[in-house]
Amino acid sequence: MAGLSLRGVTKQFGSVTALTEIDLEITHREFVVIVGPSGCGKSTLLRVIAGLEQLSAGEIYVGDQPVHRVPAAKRGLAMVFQNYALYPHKTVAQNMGFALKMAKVRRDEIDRRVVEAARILQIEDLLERKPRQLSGGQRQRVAIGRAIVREPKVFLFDEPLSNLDAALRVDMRVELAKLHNSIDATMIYVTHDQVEAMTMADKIVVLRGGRAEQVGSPMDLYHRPANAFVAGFIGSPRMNQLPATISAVSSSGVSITAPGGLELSLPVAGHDARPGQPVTLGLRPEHLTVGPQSGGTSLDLDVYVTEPLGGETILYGHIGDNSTLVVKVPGGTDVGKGQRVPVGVVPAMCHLFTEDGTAFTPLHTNDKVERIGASSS
Amino acid sequence: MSQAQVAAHSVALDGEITFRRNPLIDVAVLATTFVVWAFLIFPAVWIFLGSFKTTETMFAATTFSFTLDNYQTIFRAGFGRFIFNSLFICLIAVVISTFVSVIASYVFSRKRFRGKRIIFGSVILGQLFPWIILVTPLFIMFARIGLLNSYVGMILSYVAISIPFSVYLLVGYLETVPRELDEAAVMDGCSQFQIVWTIIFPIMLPGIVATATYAFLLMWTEFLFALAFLTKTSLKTMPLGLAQFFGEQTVDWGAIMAASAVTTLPALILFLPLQTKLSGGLAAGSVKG
Repeated sequence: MAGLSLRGVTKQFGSVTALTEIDLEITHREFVVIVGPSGCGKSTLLRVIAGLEQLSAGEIYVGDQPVHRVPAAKRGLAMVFQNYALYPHKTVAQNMGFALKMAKVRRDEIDRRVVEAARILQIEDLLERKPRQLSGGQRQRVAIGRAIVREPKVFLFDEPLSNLDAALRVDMRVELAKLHNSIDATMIYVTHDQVEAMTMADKIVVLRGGRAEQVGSPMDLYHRPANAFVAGFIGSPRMNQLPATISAVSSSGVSITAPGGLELSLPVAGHDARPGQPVTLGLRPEHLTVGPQSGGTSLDLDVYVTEPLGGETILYGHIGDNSTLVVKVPGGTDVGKGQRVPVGVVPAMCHLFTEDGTAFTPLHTNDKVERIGASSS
Repeated sequence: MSQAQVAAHSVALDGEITFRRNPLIDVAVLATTFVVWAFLIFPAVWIFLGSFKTTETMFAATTFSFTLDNYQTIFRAGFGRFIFNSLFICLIAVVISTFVSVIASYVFSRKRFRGKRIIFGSVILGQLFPWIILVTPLFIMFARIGLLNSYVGMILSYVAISIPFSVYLLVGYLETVPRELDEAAVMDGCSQFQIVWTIIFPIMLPGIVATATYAFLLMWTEFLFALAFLTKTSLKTMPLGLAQFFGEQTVDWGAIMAASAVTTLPALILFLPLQTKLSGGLAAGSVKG
């Protein structure tokens, strides 16, 4: 097993730049999730690491070895594809052992490794079946097993759960996390699902337009997003982002005025801020409460849709100038469609972004957030 | 949806939507199918039965006098040699054509290169020429390089005429095979050659069988090139052998029917066992597996 290092990785398809100078350090045993919206370049990044696409510029190291000019099969990586990519004419055992057969590993060693991987994934009784005789979840296990038998330095997963139904996806998420613990593996996992990213990752890379917007732990990204894009992408429901104006700047923070007559003093560093400057106020739905908050402030919400989910309820409503606000409240909260309710806001839980989306640095935090990409430069 | 179909849909009392078939429609569909089938099968049955009839009862509707004379006649006239020639030329040409078409279709389907669309278009363009236009230049070329009256000349010309459509069919088929399989094979350490022959070829087999069947039947019944390029009796193929029973003054119908039956048999023997794969190949393109 080994870590992986990307240095200035750039990929162009003709005149289109798919990846721009990606730098990333992945340590041994780390579970890294690359996340971003469709077309952001996350699958391209994985394919470049795998060797399925040639680099336009930059370097890739597996451990200490540069691999960007090494053929895909010799990089010591294994990839699990979105559509499983199992060979339909081969049995499960043949699928799993094929890479070893190509590498001219001895027959008994292939059998040993296939049986061991099948035991880990609990698919021993499926070894003689063809892929068409398997369910979606079983196929996914076989695809993972095919990667395991190669004993790769790094596992690459390209949206491996996206074809599974919701319940199975949750099960497989847990299975993958267990697998990561049990086989001592470095894993890179691509998804567009921020829930997968948050629940599985040691480190998340948020991509947009081929650039890494932010790299950090899930909690870093959640609590200290580098910009409005990351703030909106991480967290469910999405962070509310309201237009606001700076009314005052002091050493203890920045005061703002937001829709609905909301006036807040936020504990953020306002180095270059000036009164009258337009900004964006970020409020996570789960950080808002129905009813005034002690030590906070409140605004009136005209609820137009409620989504009761059992344990919690999502409220959609208008405030002030007709801006939409989403609030997550406990499931038992008695709020109905058409009601006007006061919503409490705690300044310490708010985020503030400049007009171009860059986050204001929170005061009172010692945690270092790794920020890269154009928006933070 | 037609009115009849709309009428056929009804909502049952328990609220479930049911589909009630009109039995008359079923009967009409079956009757039409039977008529079409009869039209298709009648000439073959008539030829097969006719090949065992004497000349006197050949066109009689009510009398049947069994004989094997017609078969003796054609084999005395050297039809066995024609069968061998046809089989030899067609089988070798099909193998070469299929091999080349599989590789070409893989390249057209999977590789990105400059001028791909023009080259692919030019391959298909070859299929648009009436063969009669090709006969004269090919005859002159074959005469110059000594390929008239040779198996090699016939094999080359049959390979050439079957490749365009074979490539076209196989490219269409390959588009239904996920590219991730190729990439998985790359990750597993396969070379390009191994990807084509150990991964893609077995998956494409139904499509390849369908394509090879088409190519074989195209060559098996080909008459024009054989007539132009083969003048030695010992090299003639079955369609030429069949034609020799049409005399200037008389036509030996019994021999023609026996020869026609014999012409059909090898194709049936070769491809009947592959029928399921053939139909699978033709259907596979419509549904992504």
